[in-house]
Amino acid sequence: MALIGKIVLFIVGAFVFQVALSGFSRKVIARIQKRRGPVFWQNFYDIGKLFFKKTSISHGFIFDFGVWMAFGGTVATLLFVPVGPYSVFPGQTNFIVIIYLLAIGSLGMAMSAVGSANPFASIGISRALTQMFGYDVPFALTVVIMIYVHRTSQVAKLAAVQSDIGWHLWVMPLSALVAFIALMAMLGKKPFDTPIAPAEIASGPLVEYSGKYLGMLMVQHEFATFVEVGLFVNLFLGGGSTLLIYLVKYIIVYLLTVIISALMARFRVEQTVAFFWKWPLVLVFIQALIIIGIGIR
Amino acid sequence: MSTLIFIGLAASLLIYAAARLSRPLGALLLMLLSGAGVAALILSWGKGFTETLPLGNGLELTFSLSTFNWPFLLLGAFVLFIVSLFAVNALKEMEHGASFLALLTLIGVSVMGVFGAYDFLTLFIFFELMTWTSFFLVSMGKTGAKKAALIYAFMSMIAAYLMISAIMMIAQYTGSFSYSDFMGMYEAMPSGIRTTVVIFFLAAALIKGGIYPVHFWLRSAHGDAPHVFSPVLSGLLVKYGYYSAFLFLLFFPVMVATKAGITQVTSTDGPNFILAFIGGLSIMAGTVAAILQSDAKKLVAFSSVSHGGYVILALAYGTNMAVAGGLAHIWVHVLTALGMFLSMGAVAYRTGTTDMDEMGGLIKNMPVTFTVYLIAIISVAGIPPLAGFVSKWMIIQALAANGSYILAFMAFFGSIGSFMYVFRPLATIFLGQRPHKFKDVREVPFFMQLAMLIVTLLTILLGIMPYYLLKPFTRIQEFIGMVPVKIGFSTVYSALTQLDMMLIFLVFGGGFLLALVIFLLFSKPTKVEQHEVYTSGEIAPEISTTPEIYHFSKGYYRSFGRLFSRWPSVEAWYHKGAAYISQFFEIIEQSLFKQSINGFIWLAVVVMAVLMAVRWF
Amino acid sequence: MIMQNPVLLIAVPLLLAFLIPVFSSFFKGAVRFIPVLAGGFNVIAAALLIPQASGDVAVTEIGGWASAYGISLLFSSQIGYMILAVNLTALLAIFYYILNERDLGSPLAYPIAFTLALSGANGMIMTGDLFNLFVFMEMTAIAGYIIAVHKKGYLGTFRFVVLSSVGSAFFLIATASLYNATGFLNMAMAGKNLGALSTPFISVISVLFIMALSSEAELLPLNGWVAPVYRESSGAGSVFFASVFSGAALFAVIKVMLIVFGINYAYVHQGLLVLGLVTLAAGEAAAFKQSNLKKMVAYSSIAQSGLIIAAVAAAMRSGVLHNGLFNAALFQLINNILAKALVLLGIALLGQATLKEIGGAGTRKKWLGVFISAGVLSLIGMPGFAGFWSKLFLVRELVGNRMFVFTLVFLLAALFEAYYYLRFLQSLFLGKSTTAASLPKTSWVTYILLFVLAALIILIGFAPDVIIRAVSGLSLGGVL
Repeated sequence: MALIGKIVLFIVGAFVFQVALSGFSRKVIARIQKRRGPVFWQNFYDIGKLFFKKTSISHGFIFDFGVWMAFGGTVATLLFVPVGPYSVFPGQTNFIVIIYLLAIGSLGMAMSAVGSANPFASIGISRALTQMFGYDVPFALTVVIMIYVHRTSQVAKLAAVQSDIGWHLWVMPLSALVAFIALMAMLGKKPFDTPIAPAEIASGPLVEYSGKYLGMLMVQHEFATFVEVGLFVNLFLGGGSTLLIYLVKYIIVYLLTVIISALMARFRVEQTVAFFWKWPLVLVFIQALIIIGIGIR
Repeated sequence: MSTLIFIGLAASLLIYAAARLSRPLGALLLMLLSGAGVAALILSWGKGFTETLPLGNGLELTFSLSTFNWPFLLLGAFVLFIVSLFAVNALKEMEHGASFLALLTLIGVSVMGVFGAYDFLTLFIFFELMTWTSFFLVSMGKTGAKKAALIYAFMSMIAAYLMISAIMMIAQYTGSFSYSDFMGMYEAMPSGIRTTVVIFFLAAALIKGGIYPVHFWLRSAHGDAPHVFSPVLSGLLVKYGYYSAFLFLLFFPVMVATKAGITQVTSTDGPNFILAFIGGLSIMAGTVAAILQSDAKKLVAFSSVSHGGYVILALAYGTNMAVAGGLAHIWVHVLTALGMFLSMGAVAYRTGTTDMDEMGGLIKNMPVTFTVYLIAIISVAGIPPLAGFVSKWMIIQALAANGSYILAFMAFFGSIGSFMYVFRPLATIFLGQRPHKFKDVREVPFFMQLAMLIVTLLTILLGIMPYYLLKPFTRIQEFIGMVPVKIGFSTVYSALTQLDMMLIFLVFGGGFLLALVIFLLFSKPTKVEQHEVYTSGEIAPEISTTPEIYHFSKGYYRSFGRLFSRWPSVEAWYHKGAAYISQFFEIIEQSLFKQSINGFIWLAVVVMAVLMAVRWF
Repeated sequence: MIMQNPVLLIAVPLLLAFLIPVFSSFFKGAVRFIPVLAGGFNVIAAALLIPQASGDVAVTEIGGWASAYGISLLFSSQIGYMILAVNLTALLAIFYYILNERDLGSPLAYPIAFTLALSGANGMIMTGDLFNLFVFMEMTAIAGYIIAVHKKGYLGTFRFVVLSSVGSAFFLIATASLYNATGFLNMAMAGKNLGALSTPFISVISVLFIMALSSEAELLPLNGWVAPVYRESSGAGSVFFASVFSGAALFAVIKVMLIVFGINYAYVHQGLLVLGLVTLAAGEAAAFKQSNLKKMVAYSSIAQSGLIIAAVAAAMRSGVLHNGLFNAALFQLINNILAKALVLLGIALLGQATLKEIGGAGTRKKWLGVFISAGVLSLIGMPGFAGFWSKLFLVRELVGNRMFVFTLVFLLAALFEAYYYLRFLQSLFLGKSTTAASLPKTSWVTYILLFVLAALIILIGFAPDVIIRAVSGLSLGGVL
């Protein structure tokens, strides 16, 4: 029973927090662009509107199934990420599990999007997968270094150990830099938003979604953001000994990504991959060399 | 077991005769035979025996069933069972169906012989049998298969001759061919001989296993072979390479070394790190090449190259977690190769092509095939809660726990890259717009579906309950003296953490249910035709908008391909080399055999003079 | 007992050959059965002689002259099996000729040629006298000229004549010099008295002998005639060349090397080793690119001859006789005789000449395809067939004696050989014929011939024991 309560609290809490934050970020972007921007609870309205729409279009069974898989997968992933000092399943916050469970979410959305039979969606997915190949490899490698150094692959433990040695942000600066850039790509923010590319391929994968589908995918995206930014906060900023500290760090990281992306243009997808495999990869290897090879901790 | 061999030989003739009458009958017979094999093996779990068959003149064949080869023998019987089930319908239009089935039976016999051998002579004999039977089987495919089969046979013979040289070196030193004598004298062998033997065998293993850079035979051999044979080639014959690597990297050395608490046999020693690195290169090369393919079967072929790299990397790496993960990965790859090749074969059975650029939207016609393929690729990509995740997890854990960041990079490279190439057939063949010509394509017949569904079911079950997947391999670890990986019913324990597959499955299931509930709470959606998509207002009346126009499949990863447009290709080198050798042979024939009479006389005189002069002075 | 005398193996066919022109004036139609008579007698005689022979070489003196002064014949169980193999394939080829090729050329020419060839080949294998060897060599060569002409093979035959004559000339010179130097024509006696001669002299003599015999044994440098002759000759004729002539000539080379020069003259064998290896490599290289089937087999035959000679030479060159290697080479020789005969008869039955033309023939005539496959797979060395064991033993002995370069050349050559033979089988079963010509009909009796050969090959493949015991133990004892 307590478990169910925990799960519900997690999900609802993550939902409320992230949607409010993303609404707030719209205001931030607006201010950068010298506008006023909507109220920070605008996103709740948007999601509500989408869900309560009378009509929505379905393109077949796989279109629906993929959305369920995406939503389900992301919610499942959410439950494995530690938030501050709390985790739903203590001792089960394995990093590799989280990374691959996220993939279920992406796979579900990919299947659904391509199942809509719209070429724009297909193009967007092909770019999304290519881009994922680009950023995930250096990112995973940064975490491998950490796993080796601290002899654990539990995200919660990796977060906790930073209270002894200091944040990984300072201890492994190169890794942190690479992870941050990878985070921006994970979130799909400019300059890495070519899979969405609003003006170019009509929003890419999301082109055929309307009504509750779009609503579910929006929520899925928010949950995914929560997982991804949460990972970064846990791994590089020491998580949070209390919930409040965690949320503060989270807000700072997220707003940082938002602000940077508001100022940038878009890369082409092969540029993204080439970029990630050049400097970020080299930086990670140098970091690994320093930490593992030479043994400076 | 020798009786089984003879039964198999006789059965091949029987099956040939039966298949001449009716193909499905022949296939069913083979299925019964291999099914009996599967059952017999499962029943003899935990038992073992050795058996000798004398051939006279001091030669004998030795067979054995034991902990270390039980999973491989089971693999052989299982693959044949599934493929023959599939073949009940799939061989309908094949030209030489009866010979195909007879040769397939012989392959089954040879595989039993290879994996069940307990001495090198037996191993070699059945390996050669495997080579020429599979040569004929590959040749039976479409155009281009003949050339592919010749290259395949050529590479297999290279592997065979490397092996026979090594075997004779062993025989000369130990005086016999048996494994036990080899293990007994292993320590005492001069290191030069031992190193040469191991290198030869490992080189043969790499060739047969399709590892970069000797992988180039795989693409056309898998791609052009008959659709029913590709799963056998990839799921079974290639496994000989992995088995051989297992024998020489682990079984022989570790059996010989101290049996006390070894968790890391070979991790960072020079030679094995090189082998692990080669495995890693194979992972990377296979992944990139697979992404760039536009033929479905060739894509899966390169995926085999990539997975072979995982196995070799894990086996060469040598820690107990890596070894267990690598061995488990062999079985996982069998299931996924079967799943992918069978579903591609099913598609080809109905549509007549495996070219991904031509197809689309087939999920409406072939939902079962789609499901099989989906599960297979989820496993290939290593996504939980399927079997592929367990083995990948173990390998990556092992690499991370020991800090091998380069190898971990390669492992992740292959893993994440696999998302790209496994998704492509899904998007281009099953999803998207369906061309008019495939409007009436039906789902494949019952037996083919059954075969595919068995594979899918196993993939799911072994993922949720990895105990059954891992137990045979942890027993092998105990048998050879390594500390086995601790496993629970659905948990794997490592030094760093633990993995609970059941929990993951349940959580994912819960999330899925939540999604379903939320979905159903709100209003009912309206279904639309496949042709009704958002086109940004771009409808050109002058071009007739056929579905093909709206289907994005050609050059699916062209942007990615641009990054690799100028990279060297091993296959191109091979072709160049072959052309040079051809020319060289031409010259030899001209100069020595096509002279005029005068020329021959001159040749004779010159040779004579040379021979005499050499001894004169 | 009359039957105990091996000279009958030579004398009876010779007599019958001379009687053919006489018979032809009375029984025109019966002439062609005379070779059958000769071959059949030989096979039976050989089969009867073998059990009575032992592992040691028995010397039969002809005409009562002591062996140092007269002609002597050597016979042992090993030689006996060699004789049996050669005569059996000759008999099968003759049957084939009668069944399928009766209407070729003059009805007199072929029977005479076949019978003479029988006599000469047996003589070459058994004789212990050098000049006698020359005589039989000439006899087989002349028979070969007749067989080679066939329908239109004039150029090839002419080449054969010239090269063979060159070889004969060399042989004569060498024999005469040896006789002059040692005073003996008998091989063993000459060999015993070589000690006093100078090294250069021995080198020259040995090279001349090698050159001489290389023509008929299909070794470099005098084997340029092989490919065109095979291509133009008839089915039976090509079998005679591949199995009877080359087998006998190879055995003769081996005899001369072993008995006359023996293990004391290692440098003699060194040159032969290199020559053999070069022949092996060149033969496989040339065969690789052939699309004409008979030429492909011809070059393969050249290569195998090179291999056998090289193996024998390697067995003797280090001053001590390596029994295992020697016996393995002889085993390979016998296997080749059988397999080549099978393949060549099969190709003749296909009726077409090139790879493209035979496309798919194996599926239309399944038994023919199976028999040809048996022969080809044996040549490649696949298990279940005789060739596997001989290749295996060769590799074992080579590796065991640490002859790694030889092993490398051998295995490389075997690789390419496997490639083009497998290509042949592929085309046979799975190709699409480019000609619409229908295949010639084959009677079931012909199939029996093929069946005998294939059965032998498979029998040896599964139970190599019989032959292994047979081929081991040439005069110096030893089992494989």
